[in-house]
Amino acid sequence: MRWTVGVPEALVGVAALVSWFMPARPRATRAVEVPATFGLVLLVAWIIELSYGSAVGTAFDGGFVQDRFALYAKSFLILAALLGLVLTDWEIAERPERETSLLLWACFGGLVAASAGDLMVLWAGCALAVVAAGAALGLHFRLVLTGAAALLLAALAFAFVYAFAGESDLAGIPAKLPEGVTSGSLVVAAIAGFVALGALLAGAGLVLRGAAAWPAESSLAAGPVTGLAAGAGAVALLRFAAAVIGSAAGWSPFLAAVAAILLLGGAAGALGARSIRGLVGWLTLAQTGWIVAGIAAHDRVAVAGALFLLGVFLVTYCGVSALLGEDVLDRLPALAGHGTRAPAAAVAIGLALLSLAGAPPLGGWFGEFAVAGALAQSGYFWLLFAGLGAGLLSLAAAVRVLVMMFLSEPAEGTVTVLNSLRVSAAVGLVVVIVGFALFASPLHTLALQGAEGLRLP
Amino acid sequence: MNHITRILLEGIVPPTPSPTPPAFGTNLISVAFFCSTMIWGPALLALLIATLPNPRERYNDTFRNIALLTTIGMLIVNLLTYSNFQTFGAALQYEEKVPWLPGLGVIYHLGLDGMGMGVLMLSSIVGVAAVLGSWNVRTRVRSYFSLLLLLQGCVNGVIVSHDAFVDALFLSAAVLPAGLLVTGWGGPARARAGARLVGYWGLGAAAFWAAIFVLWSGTGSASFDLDVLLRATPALGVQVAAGALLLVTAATWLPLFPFHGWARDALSEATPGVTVLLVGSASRLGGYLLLRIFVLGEHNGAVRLGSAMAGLAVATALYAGVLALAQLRARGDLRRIAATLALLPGAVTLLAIAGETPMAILGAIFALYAGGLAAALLVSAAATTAERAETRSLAVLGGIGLRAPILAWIVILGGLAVLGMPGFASYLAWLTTLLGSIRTEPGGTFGVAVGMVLCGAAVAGLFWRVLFAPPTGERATVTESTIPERLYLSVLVTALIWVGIVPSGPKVAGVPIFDPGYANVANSSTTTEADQYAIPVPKR
Repeated sequence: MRWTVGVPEALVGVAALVSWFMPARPRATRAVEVPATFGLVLLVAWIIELSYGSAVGTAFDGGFVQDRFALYAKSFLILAALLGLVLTDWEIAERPERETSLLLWACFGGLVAASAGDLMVLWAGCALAVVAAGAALGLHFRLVLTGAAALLLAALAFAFVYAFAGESDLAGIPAKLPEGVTSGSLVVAAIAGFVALGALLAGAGLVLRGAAAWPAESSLAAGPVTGLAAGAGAVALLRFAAAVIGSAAGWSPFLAAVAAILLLGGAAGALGARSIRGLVGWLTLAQTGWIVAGIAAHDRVAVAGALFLLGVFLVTYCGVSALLGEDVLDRLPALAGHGTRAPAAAVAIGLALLSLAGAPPLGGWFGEFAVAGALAQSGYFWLLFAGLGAGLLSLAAAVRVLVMMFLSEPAEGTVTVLNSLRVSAAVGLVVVIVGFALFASPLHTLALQGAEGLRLP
Repeated sequence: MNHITRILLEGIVPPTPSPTPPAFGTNLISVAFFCSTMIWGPALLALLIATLPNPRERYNDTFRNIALLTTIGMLIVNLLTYSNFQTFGAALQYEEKVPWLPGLGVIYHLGLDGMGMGVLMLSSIVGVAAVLGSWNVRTRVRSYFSLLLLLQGCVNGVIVSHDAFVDALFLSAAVLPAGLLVTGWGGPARARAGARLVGYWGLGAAAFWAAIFVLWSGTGSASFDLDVLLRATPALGVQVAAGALLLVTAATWLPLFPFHGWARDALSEATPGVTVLLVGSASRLGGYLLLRIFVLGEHNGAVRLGSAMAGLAVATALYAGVLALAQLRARGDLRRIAATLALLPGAVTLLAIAGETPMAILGAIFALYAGGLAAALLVSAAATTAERAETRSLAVLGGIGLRAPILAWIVILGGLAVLGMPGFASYLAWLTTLLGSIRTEPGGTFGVAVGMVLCGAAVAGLFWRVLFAPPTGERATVTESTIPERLYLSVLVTALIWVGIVPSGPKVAGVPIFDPGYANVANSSTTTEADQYAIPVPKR
């Protein structure tokens, strides 16, 4: 395997270290200098990943795997980190270098999980990302406790699977596990793993939903960092599901039920949301439900749909949560006329909401369609109907905000002024969200190759 | 009955599809990527309008003109392709086929048969009328016309697409601009009306999704392409389940009782231009999809659900008649009464679909066109009258016939068109529907006919009340319609009367002149599919 394959991880890891130990920059320039510098590093890492990531192989005795799944997941993790970094409002940050470092660590953790060849590395990647998210959230006691519990549960589940299979190599585990298991301790272990990793994935939506209660010490980039940690959780979830595919008949109905709860709960919550970050959080939760539904259907097309959605989710969530940041526009009525006051931000927020709600023809819709098709083929019609109902509610919730932003008279209050870098990044977010629709075909093909990389049936 | 039918329809329906002389002007101009043009033309212009700067609303007139020129351009292109349409043979015309999402079996497959071409003509005509009907919009003009064009692009997308995925894409995409157009502009209760529209149409779009997934998994098909999906024969249960879901789509969009909640609000709150687009073409998509995918694709399931569809048609027609009479008696809201009466064309369309005979299916295609235009004419004429009089209350709207005669006449024409009076395309549509359905759904036909009579009584009462009756209490100050208003209403009237008078197209010495005839176009390529519903003639 070419050494260039590991360059993105190396770049992100080194950048995280440099950023952490970097001396504080002058207040006048740091709001642009820090994100521009490290954004450039991420851009280079992204280009290298796209250029050389197609090489397939392993390194570190199988601990590092570069396959199509890793290529897909890593590309979107880096892109999401880039958008999250440049869209965050660093003007009011005390130490943007440290907060940038947390974001880069979370991204690094996700990259490690995406390329994990065994259970140990998979767990380590998740743990790194979760620790970064915990720090970014100002060590919020309840969140840190939840994250730690999830990591502990994941470790137990992984250990149990290791004990069953007799090896920790993710590629080798399926062959060592019995086929067609529908109950017993293996299924329990698998479900425990899913609960743990699923909690990390769903954490992004749940955390953003309660953004108003974040501690004062939390980072301005807490949203994107949490999104990247959720991405790491999702990547681990997909790799773990592929490893324990033999017991799918046992855990699939459980995941389907969880997916239905996430879908309907997220959509209902979105309808009742009172703040824009709360709305994004609930919509994210509903989209998380689609990803879990894809895993529940557990065939190649379904997982490809889930993987496609994961890309959409990462980019949209990290972008929009960074854009909203600690915005004073948190109360929904304050968004009235935002389309006139800050058009680039409003369009980016609007498209992100629509994509999260699964409105056509945006990326979220394509991903949900792919998953829905797989659900129909798998006979999960009840889950399909739940998803359709959730999509309808989500759309109604998103439309409410669009009407407020674009069809209402501007509300009085503080106007958010974006600097040129953030305006460019907002335009970039719009381009990426639209790009998911325009390039849905090649991206879905890549996602299919990614699912093939997981050796799914 | 057959003899009477033959006499009545002679000249409209050729007994067998046979090569006809090409219309004069055929093949003078050909349009490559015609179907894509009809979708992406308005969509790209909508994007252009949305992104152009408009400091202090300075370029409002420019946006209006761009929208008008776009819709007129689309109409001209559509007329050219319509005149070139081959009225024999069942193959899709203007076909475009490009693999899109191979992993999901999705093909960017566009094309038109006779039914599609007929409904596309409706959409193009309605598009021009909608822009002209929106000439009085003064606030957020850029957003308004951008959304209007976007909605038209989506409507065209549903009509021309020949892949269920692409259909679902455009159908779902149409919900958002429609909802925003109702919510953003119009009467005081527009926010509620917009929310209801999004809810009902969203439900219909979700039901359509579910229907195609049921068919897809039921047939074990590897593709969403309608050529593949509809050729397979799934089990009867699958057909019925998919049909029931498609019926929900039709009922929410057309709309039909009891899924008509959005119509009363949206059609009485939205601007005249938006009402034209909503009721004229967008809402017809429900019936169009039911006909195209279920009735022409899943024969056994359609036969099984025929009575249910007829029952729904009867319920809708009776409900429209009774409610309109009640509203009239209470001297209620003019726009609401018009919106209620606009349910009738949907009921007739569904009866035609339920009739499931070749003639009824032809009636359904006619009813999509004529019903859309007639409902749009009545609803928008009522909207314009209410705007001119600055009131909608029938209590004060009496006797405007003397003060605004042109407007009054257009209201009359709208009412007559909805009732299917001779001379209008709706006459042929209602006639072919009733005659085509009488043998297969006699109860349904009788019920819808009773509904028509009730609606007729309501229309007569409405004429008397609005045009001639003295106002009770304060007299409304009504002004005559403006030129753009007359123009947009005239477009609708002309389209209705043209097809009503020359359904087979004008001919000189037996050679069609430009127009191959709506009846011929509608009948031509659906004959093959419709023949499966032909009733065997008993041997003597």
